[in-house]
Amino acid sequence: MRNTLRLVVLSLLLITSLTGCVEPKSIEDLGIINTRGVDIIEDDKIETTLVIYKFDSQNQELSSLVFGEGKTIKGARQNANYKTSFQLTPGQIRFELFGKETAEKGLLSFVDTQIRDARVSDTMYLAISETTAKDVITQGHEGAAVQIGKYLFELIEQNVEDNIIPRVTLQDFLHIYYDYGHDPYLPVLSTVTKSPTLSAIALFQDDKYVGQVPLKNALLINVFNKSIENASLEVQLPMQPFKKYMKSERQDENDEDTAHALMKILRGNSKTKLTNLQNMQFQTEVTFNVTMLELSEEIDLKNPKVKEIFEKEVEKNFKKQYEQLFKKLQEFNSDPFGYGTIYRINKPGGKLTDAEWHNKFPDINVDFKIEFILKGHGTTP
Amino acid sequence: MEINPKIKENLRIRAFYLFFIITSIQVGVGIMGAPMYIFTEAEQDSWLSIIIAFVYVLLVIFVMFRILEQYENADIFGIQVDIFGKWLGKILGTLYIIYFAAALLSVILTYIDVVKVFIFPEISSLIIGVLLISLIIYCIYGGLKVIIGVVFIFFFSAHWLLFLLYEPAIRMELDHFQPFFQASFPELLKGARATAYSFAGFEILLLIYPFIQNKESAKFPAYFGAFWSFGLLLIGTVISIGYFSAVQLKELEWAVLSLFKIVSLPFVERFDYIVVAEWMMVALPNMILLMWAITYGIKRMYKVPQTKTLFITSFILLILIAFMSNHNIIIRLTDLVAKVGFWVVYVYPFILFPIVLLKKRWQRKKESETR
Repeated sequence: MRNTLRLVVLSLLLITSLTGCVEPKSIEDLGIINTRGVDIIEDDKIETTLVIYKFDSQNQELSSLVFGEGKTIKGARQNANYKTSFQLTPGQIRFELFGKETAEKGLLSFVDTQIRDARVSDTMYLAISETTAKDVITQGHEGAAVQIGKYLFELIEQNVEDNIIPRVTLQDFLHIYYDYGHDPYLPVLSTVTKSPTLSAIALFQDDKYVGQVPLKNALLINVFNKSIENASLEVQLPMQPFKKYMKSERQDENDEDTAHALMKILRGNSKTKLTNLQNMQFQTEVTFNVTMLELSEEIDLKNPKVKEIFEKEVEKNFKKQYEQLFKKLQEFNSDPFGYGTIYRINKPGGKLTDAEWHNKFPDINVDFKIEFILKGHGTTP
Repeated sequence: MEINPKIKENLRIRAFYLFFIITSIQVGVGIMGAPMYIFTEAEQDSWLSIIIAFVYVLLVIFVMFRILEQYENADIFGIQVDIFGKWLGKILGTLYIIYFAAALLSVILTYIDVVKVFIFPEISSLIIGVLLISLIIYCIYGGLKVIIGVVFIFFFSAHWLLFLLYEPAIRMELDHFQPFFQASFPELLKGARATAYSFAGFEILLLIYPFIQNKESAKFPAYFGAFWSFGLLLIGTVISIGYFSAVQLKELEWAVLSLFKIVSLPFVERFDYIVVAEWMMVALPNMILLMWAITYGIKRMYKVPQTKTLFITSFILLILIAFMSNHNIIIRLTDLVAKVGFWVVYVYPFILFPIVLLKKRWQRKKESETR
């Protein structure tokens, strides 16, 4: 009996006293930041555009925009706090957008500081705006029917899951940045129509934006960093080599010069090795297992010979794409493929700094070997 | 004091539980931060350092068993009194207890620090301290059987965290380990030494040995317990190296906890919060066992009742917790415990062992002469 009494008193004491231990945060008083845009305005001042969620019963609108200025990101949040009756919390930021000019000056100071705060999520996505972050977010907020915060996050998330763009979370960006001889990349959003759309892939040298490549190149970069599945792939092929194998009955009508094919990648991966350390000669083998989904011309893929020509043509096409992309990367002096990592591993001593690699990267040679395996061609051959 | 304490039959434990005791006291707050310290020394070959450290730990446990086997049913306090005499033996025993107390303090402070950094920056250390210590007191009150029970249950209720590491594990980059075997031998040894704090704790074997019922089968659980904690530390470190890049890892204080930041499930967006709270189940058995070692040791040497020591120690700890909330002080204390622990746990048994052997031989000789 005495023991039970003691237990009851003790637990009552704990229940009443423990609730007072930490500052209570009721959800009606919080403005939960969902998306943040960061721009540098004049002389090192930062302007942040925050999309916040409010769970206030009187408010009809769930999300709203708040702006803040300051010298640091956290300072800007403080400043934004003056303009709203809600207490702004950063724990649920899902998406962070940087203006292009800001990215040109370097993102590290904005990104690295966030890791220090253990309450910031590692899984938030990062992206670059074609103009300023404020522009994209405000236009999207006015134009789009859906909530802008949700929209932006899901735009990136869905494309990452479909393997159209590489995964670009905060942790991915930092980890690639800090890896020696590997430069990060981020998707670019623009507002050509009213709602923000993915438009390109931004390339970085260290943490500084140096240029962008078209979105279709994203897949080429993606396959370097992980093995991909379930991505779709469009190629344009010349008709010339297939001419004599065309299905007979429609041969005369055919006067197209090129064929378009849409394929699904079942599995794509890459392997890179250093073939010559002295001349910095690399060899990259990229393998795609694909299945045909759409073909604009009647090419008879049942015929093994045609299939072989088809694979050859696609390989040629991809080799060219890779070589063009690679040339561009060397011009930008940005290495999203991570050739530097492979160079470092094979170098005696195993040490390489980013600066060293940027001196060397424009001079490396890569021999791309693409292998296409057509596994199936749907219901019609 | 008696050299070979007589433990009542109903207080004895099965040797099987030694596995849980050794694992629980080794795996605590140390593993959260160990990758950074090991990686700073041995870089991508840290896993080799951990293997070296593990082999050494096995060796130490082996020597501990050899020391204990020389006696009928003794613990470290009895052995020290037997060898160094009453005064010196008791002083050494007291030092041992002070080491346990410092280790306990550093464990509590580190856990409080982690809670403050990850969840509640504004909470007062004293409140978490009171909560933790009341749990400790409650467990110690139950006696050794309850302590073993808690250790046993918490072992299982904490290990599911391992499944969550799947997410960071699939994002590992093998390049981070290459090129292999770059660290020189001294660097590897330094890396092995950096594991001292995480691996320490198995010296409780020297205290708990008299309580073991079936001593003949005590060896396997002890070695296997050390192997288990070795496995956990290895997993934590290897995933950290693969997941973080070198520059990041060198500056990441609680790398293993940060691994969980990527874990996000549909019903819990930020799993790291739950992991920090759940870590109490990892740290608490640790604290309980250390506290038991302190109270039992004082009872053995000075015949002070265990409850008395328990409350006095708790009170002193609370005062210290209230004042030591500065992160740098906590780091310095942990460093100190690691350094002292290195000598107490990893070196001292090797010094003690030959002395015990000599003494025993001399004793036998004397016995045969008198006969």
